Amino acid sequence: MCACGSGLAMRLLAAGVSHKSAPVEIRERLALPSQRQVDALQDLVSLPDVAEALVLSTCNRFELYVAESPCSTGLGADQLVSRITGVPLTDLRPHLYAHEDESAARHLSEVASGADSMVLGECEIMGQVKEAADLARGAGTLGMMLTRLTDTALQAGKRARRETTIDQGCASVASVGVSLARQICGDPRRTTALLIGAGETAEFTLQRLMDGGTERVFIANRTPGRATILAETYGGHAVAFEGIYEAMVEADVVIASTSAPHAVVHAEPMRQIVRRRGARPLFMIDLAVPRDIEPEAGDLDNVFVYNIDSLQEAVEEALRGRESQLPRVREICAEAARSFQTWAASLDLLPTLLELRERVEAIRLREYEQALRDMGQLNARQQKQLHLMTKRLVQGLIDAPLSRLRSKACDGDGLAYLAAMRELFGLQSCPPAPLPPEGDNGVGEPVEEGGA
Amino acid sequence: MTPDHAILLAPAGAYLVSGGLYAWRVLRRHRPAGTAALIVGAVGAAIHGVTFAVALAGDPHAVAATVSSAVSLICFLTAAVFLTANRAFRIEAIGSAVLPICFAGALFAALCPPTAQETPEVLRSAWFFAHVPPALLAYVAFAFSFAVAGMYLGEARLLRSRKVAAVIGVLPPLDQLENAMYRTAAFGFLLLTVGMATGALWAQSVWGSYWSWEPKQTASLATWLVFATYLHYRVVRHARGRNGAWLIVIGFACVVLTFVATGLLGDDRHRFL
Repeated sequence: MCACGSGLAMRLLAAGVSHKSAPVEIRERLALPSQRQVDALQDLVSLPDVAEALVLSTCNRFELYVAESPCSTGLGADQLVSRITGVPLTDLRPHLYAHEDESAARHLSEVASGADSMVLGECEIMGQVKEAADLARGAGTLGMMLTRLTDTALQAGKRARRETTIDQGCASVASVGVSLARQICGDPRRTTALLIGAGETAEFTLQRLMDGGTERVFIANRTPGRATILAETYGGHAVAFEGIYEAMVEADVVIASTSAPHAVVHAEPMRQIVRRRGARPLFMIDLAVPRDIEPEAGDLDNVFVYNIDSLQEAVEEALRGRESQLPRVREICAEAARSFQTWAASLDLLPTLLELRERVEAIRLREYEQALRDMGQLNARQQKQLHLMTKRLVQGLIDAPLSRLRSKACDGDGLAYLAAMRELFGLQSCPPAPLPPEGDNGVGEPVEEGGA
Repeated sequence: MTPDHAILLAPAGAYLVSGGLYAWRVLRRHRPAGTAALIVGAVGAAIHGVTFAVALAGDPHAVAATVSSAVSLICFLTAAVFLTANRAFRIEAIGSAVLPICFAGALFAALCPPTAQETPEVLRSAWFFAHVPPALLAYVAFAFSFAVAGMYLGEARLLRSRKVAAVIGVLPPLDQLENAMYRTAAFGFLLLTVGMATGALWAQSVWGSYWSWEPKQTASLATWLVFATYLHYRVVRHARGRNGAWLIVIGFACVVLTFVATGLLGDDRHRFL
């Protein structure tokens, strides 16, 4: 047997922490800037244990994926995490989770599909996984196995978003506001916004509106100086606080968030304004507590008022909707992981399969040539027939055992069958090294012992 | 039901299925359902179109000679226009409102065949082509306007009751619906005006009087007045949102009434229709 205990060619190991397992105090100690990531990855593959390495580092998680080389001394992935981040293992251990092979592939697939994200189904994570893969590729530590792993996870992420609604619905107050603005007022480029007061969420919502194409912005504030500053920040027009009704004739989206102890927008003057606005709908977002907009304004025709509670409710509804998709997403990820595992298992078999085919082909050729010599004069057609006959014979004999071996490899009995097959066909006692991973990294040579 | 009319059950069924598929497409965000809806609807419209092609080859005047064939023609044109526009503009949500209207009309045409089979002599006139096409197309436009207004009212209600998830990404923007409802109503109004004017001229040339207050004329006038009211207020910017949409719903009710009135109480002039 090989020194590499399991005998499998390459194992996939993963370890990490996420917002679910570790507080921010731990996560911030693990965060690696991308330049240091490159050094860390290269340091890892210089170890005899590690053939390939990949780090996924975002504000909510730090994860390390390594392909263990065939003759690893059994260094755990947790130790590797500690090594590259410099955080002692004792500090890490309570927060660390670890995965192997299929379970690691399933984990990364779930991460990529957003099922493990703080905001369920968010899609930035896809880009982050892609970036992590690019970084490792640039560092020369992304070999065949981790390339396949990241491809598997990204495809699972895409499929989850295509086949389920895990990314549907708005997951923040600002995005609900922006989506509603689009739903009620149509094209954001033709939308005019009015900001009354400036809370953090209000400014963020305005920013998102402007990202969507809104250009005309009015800004009103109790303190005129502050209004002017904000107007400069957003390239809008400052309006006097008394002029908000007048501005509402033009505006389509009103975002109110003053700290006034009473309503600042009253229903009665709104009635006049709405008449002057014509057919255009008016969407009002009230982010203030106590409320800035009299609720009666929402009863006016063509005026839609949403307060912070109704927006928050919409966010929660969307997140509940996303949560209901989790079982289906997990299923997709499990499927992806299974197909990854099948591929990885066939990677273990590859040397044996190739060797066996070579052996059989050599025998076939020998016998074929012998027959040609013995049979004397054969025309081209007869030669071809003979050639085909030997080929079919050989294939018919080895195809069934080989395909059965492949399917056994996925069930975990592969090793016993592999050993038996090598023994029966008299192949070398220890499987030769698997296909070398891409790039320059220290794959240890398999250590051979005596007979199996 | 005669075999001639029973065949209309095929397009009626297709419109119903297609409308359901459009609803599925929109509510479940299932894209293939939209394609399926288009195909099923197109097959229905094709069968429907063939029945008219056959009728037109026989007697072009006959296609608008009875209430049932006029309703059937309006539904066919509505479905055909929608399915054509559907390819061009991706307005699938509206299909879930338009195609059920087509279904109702085609079903009516299949179940209530005309009693008189002969095309009245008075229809065989050049005036026919000046009066009937604009009038029928006006009804097609009103059917669209009505479907969009219904969707507008539903969406406004959902938005008002804060059912955000049921709206966002599911229904077209409210503003667009309002615009579409206005434009189709304006277009229909224009055609109806033309149809009524040519009808009056035709009546003058045949019966010697422009207007005789028979049920069809009266109901058409009511329709015209409702849409005129809507457009007046819409253009001078008073009938916003819900009120405007309700006016369109009432206007379309008048259209339906037009056919019911002529079917039940028609006198000499529009008796055949």
